[in-house]
Amino acid sequence: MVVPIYETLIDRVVIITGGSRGFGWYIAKKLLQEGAKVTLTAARSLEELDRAQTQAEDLVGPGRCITIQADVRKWEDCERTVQQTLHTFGKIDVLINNAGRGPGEFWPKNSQDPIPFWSIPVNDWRSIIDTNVTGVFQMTKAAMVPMRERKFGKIFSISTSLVTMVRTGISAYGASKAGLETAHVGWAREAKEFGIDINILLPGGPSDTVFVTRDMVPGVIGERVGQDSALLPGDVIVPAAVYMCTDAVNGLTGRRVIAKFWDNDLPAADAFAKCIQPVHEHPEIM
Amino acid sequence: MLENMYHHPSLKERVVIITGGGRGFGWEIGKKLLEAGAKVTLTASRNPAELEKVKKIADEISPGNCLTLLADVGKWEDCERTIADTVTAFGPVDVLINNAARGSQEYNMSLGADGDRFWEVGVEGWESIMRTNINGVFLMSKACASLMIERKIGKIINLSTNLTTMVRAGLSPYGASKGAIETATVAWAKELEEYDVDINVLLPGGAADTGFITQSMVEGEVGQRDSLMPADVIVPPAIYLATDMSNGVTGRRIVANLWEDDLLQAEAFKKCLQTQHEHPEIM
Repeated sequence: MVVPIYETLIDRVVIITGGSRGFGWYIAKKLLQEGAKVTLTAARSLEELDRAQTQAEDLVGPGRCITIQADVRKWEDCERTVQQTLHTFGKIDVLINNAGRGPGEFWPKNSQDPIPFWSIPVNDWRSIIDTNVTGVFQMTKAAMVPMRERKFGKIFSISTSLVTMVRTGISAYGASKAGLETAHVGWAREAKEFGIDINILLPGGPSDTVFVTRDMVPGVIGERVGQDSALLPGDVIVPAAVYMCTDAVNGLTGRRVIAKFWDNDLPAADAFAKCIQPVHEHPEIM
Repeated sequence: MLENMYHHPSLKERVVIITGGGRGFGWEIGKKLLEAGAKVTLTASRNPAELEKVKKIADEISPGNCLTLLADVGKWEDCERTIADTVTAFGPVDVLINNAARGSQEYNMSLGADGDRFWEVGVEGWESIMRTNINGVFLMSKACASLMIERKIGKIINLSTNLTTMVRAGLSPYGASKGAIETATVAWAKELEEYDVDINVLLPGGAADTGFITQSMVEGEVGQRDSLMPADVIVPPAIYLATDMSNGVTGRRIVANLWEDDLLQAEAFKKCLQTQHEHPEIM
């Protein structure tokens, strides 16, 4: 049995969008083991959602995890996710905006090379902006209602490395994450007086999840597995993400946190401090 | 003899599309380009009366050289139609100015006033800003790019905003949309480089006196309407970017109010060019 190390995680209620796989599921597993209750959403992968539900029960028993088919691009789905979580668990402490669509959506099949912006299909571009920017807005807007009432809440959204944002071939994805981070700066300021913290978390490099598709690997990443792999392990996100769900970080807001700088040899507070990036007065993009 | 951009040979019969060209910055730039002998397509998404009005003035400046189209940059069919109609009327597109944008008036908010919080922004207002300011720039650029690449000629100019405005509380949909487009422009410039197509970002450098800044914003944030910069602040670097004088300048951010009329135009333009950064820093 895993001994809970973070007391404030016991019965903490966390919504994780895109929670059935990748970073979302890695974070969910650890949170469940630490005593949290989680809502997992997925827009498309229903079998995975069912599997996550079963695995969650195997891990910590029934009643600790609900799964909801919900597309963050649809406002009704966001509201429903919040309502069902409140109905089941009575409150929402944390929202993790993890659902995202990446360059895998429009990566040419069996090709190592990404495509220039003028070849990105219109609907793929829209679907990435809708999910990664508007979807995060909608989920966050929906979660703000109960959080403002309680004057407590933690919201963090998964982003990407700064060099990835301006990389050729994936501009839909890069632009979406830049838009997202830009929005978070203003949001954090607006939410501060309500006791709600809003931050950004990113792995710090391409990671071994389904998000990085097989076609991307040889061209962009090199080797997928083994010592030569440039991919970070899929669970690289976990320690910082879990720490950000605890009361240890209350009041930390408007910050950018890079998960891979977590150092397991340090006490958690020191390990987390290494992940927090310095604040810039204003963006510099170009 | 020194080159004067307002009479530059490259502007004669240069084919330019200006989205949101019926007013504000778009129309200021359009007027000047028509005077310089360019052929200009102006689009507007919602206001045919506005287009009729500018068409009349345009035909006085340069008869037959202005096409006005009711077209929504958020719709792919409208973007394709804008390009097709322009090519039919004037020939292949040399310059695209992505000026059309929606601002905080879409969600009924005033700069700096109380109660401007992102959770109060309506879902439709948010979407309408993303649809025009991000997707619209992508769709128009995508629609223009293939012909520009084929001809190895082309200039794309994306209008943006101040860096402090991008992260201002109460303005998050607008700020986020401009952050996204500046980021996309960096990647697009690299993708277009081998085809000699230049793409840059142009911004006024402060709040300017256009319909974009509503009266409520003036009261909340700007103070007096006459403290706004004139709308034609955008014109000199916009014209410079449309001429061959700027060939090879790409992936750059250009701040219009740094233009100094007393300098040679090439020098004045250099003053507007911002230092390049290796990668973005946002938060």
